[in-house]
Amino acid sequence: MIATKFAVDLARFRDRVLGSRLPITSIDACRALATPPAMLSLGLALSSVSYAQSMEEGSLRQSLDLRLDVSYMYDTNVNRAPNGQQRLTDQFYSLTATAGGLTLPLNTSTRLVLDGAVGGDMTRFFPKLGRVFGEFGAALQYRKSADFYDPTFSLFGRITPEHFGSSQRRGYQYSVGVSALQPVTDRINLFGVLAHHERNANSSVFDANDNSAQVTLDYSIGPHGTFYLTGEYRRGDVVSTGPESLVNLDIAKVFVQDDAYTNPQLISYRFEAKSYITMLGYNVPVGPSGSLDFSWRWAQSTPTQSAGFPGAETPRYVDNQFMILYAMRF
Amino acid sequence: MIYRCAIACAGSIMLALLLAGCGGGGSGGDIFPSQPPVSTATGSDTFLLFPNPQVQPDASLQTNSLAYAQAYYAAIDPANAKDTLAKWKVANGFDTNTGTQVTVAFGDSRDLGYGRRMIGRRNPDGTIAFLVENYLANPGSAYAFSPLSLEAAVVQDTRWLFLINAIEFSRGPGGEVSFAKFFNFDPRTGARQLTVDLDLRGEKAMPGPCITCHGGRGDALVPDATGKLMFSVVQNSASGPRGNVQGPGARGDVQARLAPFEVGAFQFSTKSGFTRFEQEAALKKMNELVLCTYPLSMSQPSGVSSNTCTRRDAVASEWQGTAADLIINAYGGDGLPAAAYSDTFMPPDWSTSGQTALYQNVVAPSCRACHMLRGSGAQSDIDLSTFDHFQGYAIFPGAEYPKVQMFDDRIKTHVIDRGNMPLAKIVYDTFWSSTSPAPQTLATLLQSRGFTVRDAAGKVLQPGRPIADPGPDRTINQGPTILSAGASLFANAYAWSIVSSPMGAVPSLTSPNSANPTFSATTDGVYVLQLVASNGTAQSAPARLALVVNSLLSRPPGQVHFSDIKNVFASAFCMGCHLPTPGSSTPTPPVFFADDQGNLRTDDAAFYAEIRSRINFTDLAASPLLRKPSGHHHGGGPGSFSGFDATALPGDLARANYDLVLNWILNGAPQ
Repeated sequence: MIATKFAVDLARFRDRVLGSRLPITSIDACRALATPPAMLSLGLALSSVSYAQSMEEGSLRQSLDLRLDVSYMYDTNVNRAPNGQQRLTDQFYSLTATAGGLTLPLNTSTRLVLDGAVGGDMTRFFPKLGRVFGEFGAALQYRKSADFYDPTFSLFGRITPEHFGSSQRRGYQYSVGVSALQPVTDRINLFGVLAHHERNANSSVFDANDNSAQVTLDYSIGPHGTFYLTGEYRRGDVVSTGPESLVNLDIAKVFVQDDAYTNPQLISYRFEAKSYITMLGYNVPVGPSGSLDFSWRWAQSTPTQSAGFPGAETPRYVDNQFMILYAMRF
Repeated sequence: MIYRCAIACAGSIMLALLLAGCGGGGSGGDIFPSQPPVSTATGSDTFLLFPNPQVQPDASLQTNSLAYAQAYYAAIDPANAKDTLAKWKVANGFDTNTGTQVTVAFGDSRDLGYGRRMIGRRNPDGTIAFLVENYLANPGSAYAFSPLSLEAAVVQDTRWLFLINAIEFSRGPGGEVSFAKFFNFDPRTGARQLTVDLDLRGEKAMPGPCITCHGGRGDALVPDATGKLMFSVVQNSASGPRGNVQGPGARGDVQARLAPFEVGAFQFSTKSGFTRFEQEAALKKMNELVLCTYPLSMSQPSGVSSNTCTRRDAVASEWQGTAADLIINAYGGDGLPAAAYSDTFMPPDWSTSGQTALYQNVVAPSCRACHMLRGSGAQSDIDLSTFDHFQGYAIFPGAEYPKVQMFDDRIKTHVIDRGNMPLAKIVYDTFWSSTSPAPQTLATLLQSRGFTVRDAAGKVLQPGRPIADPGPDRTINQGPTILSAGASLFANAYAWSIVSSPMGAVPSLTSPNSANPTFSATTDGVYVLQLVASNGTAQSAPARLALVVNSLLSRPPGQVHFSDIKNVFASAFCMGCHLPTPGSSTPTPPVFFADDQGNLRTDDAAFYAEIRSRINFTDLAASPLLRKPSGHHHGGGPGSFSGFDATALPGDLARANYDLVLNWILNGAPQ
């Protein structure tokens, strides 16, 4: 049971740290590599799992989890282009060290959970999309009682400074939000997250904000692992990269000649969009302190503003990401 | 364990703070779509202004004033029947299913940088109109042509609709012969605009920015009997109430013309329906419409020269439709048999003169579009249609007196020194771009004619360097005379010195490092001064000024008035041609000095305005009032008129009239 819990925890933690590069709706490779609010909240909500279980055990405790995550991801549309000819693929290799689980009980129903991480990503084709980052998060969690069906609520905040190879993308981001974890059965958990995310980068193109609502369903199959399914809706800024075009200019709030895509020179542009994201994953324990996670994420964004000429088609931005992650706890 | 956690968290926080310092604030490369293209000042930054902008006593430029635009529309549309786009379209029969109407979309990569969607139509009554939507879709980038501007024009993406221009070829109020009229409408409200910013270098008054390159004249306004300023009547036009005879023109007929569509200079879309191939027929129809507006040269037989219309015969005084040669040649000759525009036009004289490279590298891309629409029946040098016309503006003036006959340094002055030609910004920037062959080609010609146009390293001199201009050589009285370095270019510091004086003379020069020093001499004779202008560390070549001190001047420079100038007109035989000759086949000039009876005009206010209009206070040597009678591109003949021999030393009787007019001008041309 502990191993399973740990595996689930890692799966969430993977999302929190690395899953951020997954969604197309997380603006672009830069923003994508940053942590999206929903994933943050999901990760933090996961702390609620531990919390809930620790509550089950009848005590609040301080603990420290040290984890090392290694992952590989294949992105079919790393530049978030609207059509096939313009789409570029890339592969990401990531390493993240996390110190988490510093739990500070405030009373019998409330506690503060702190965590931090450092990590980095390398890319195969577009090296300036690589980054190193630090991360610090805090969550104020509340659970009325240790009753199994009592939900856990969390108010969280997080800051993530990032140093990309691309100077335009360097900056930091904040996330704040609320989440709720509702155990449904001993195998099924349901998470809900509302989050706001803001990013501040050297280029205004990568300054972005959005709001999101996310629901995740976990289904545990005991020692064989956990399946999870996530659905998310976002409204806010998205960044796409591609050749200069009239449609791009029409929907763009701001654009820049991208310093990560220089041959040929592409522009990145930020625009307002509605985005839908789904993710399907499977997390399986490996040994007493490790887990392996497989996931597929699909995301689609549609601009809220259309190009200003008759007959202009509204572009759709679709991305698929496939990831495998190995996590080890020390 | 708690300590490990604390250390890890603290490390994360510190890293976070450290990295957070890296971001935020936006970068210089960010471009917001609302940003206009960046149009930087180059050359003299006087693009689309007349070389003679009609400087007023208060230093304002009359051709760039609201009063000028108001007077223009008062002349061509006195009832304001076309003061909105909608009214203009109705007046010109748009979308009425009558006449002929064609539409094209192309990229104007050479001249104005727009994507242009143009509708041309010819009404059953023969009037012709062009409506042009101009798109500019390169926010934040350098002002230049962008393929996106073309795409915007093709799909009519109104977000990037920058300007709406219109030209109609119709009769003026009370006139019988059509002429071109120019309009600019607000793309949002449709209101007619008095100013337009074609190249993002600032608003300029209509119709100046249009007609500067459509062959138009930039004459000064003239007062009516009540003092109200009006457009002048250009006398050598057929558009006035007399119809197809020797002028006068209609008020507001500035002798501007429609320009040929130089298809080879355009960019085209690959989008279906908008490729060059698919639009060739429409472009040819457009060119036929343009051709219909050109008079048929008196040297050609009357008749049909296009498939669309019969061109009227030109009168002797007016422009002879020179630009028709380009269109006719491009479509295979008379009758325009070819379906597609050919980009190989080369006037025969240029090729037989062995100046193909000069024409192709310089004239065709940088000069022709504007110059081929200029000139008159009596004087067409400025159309540059022959090499002889061109080289007439590149005759080395000679360093000392007597100067070379017919000296003329206009090409060097405008292109190499002043930087006010090429006239349009993109054309200018292209001319001076690092890949352009134009500067070298032109410099080779000018150098062969004796001009200094290269620096010590052999690099072609470019506008922007300080150029000293102490003003023209002149006669003065004994006593103090205020000099001026104000005509110097790209300079803010000056150093005057006296180079030579008559034997025994002791001249003085006060404030020699100012723009306006005072020269004083008590001995008659020739004094040579020198001016060096500088801007920072850049220093000009020294420029010489000859002052001929003459205590016996019949008219001291400060006492010359308009009445003296009128007397010069009478004494120098100017009134032999500058007078009305209704019905005569003798070409009439654009301005008259005499009335219908052959007497000197007495309507002094208007007469003075018309004469002052022929002074270029930004470049005195370019004033037609000095150049024409001294034999420069004068319809009255190649030689100088009595008392106007500018090759003679100031004070010489052979240039007495020239000196008088010059001193009047130097004194501000008082009435």
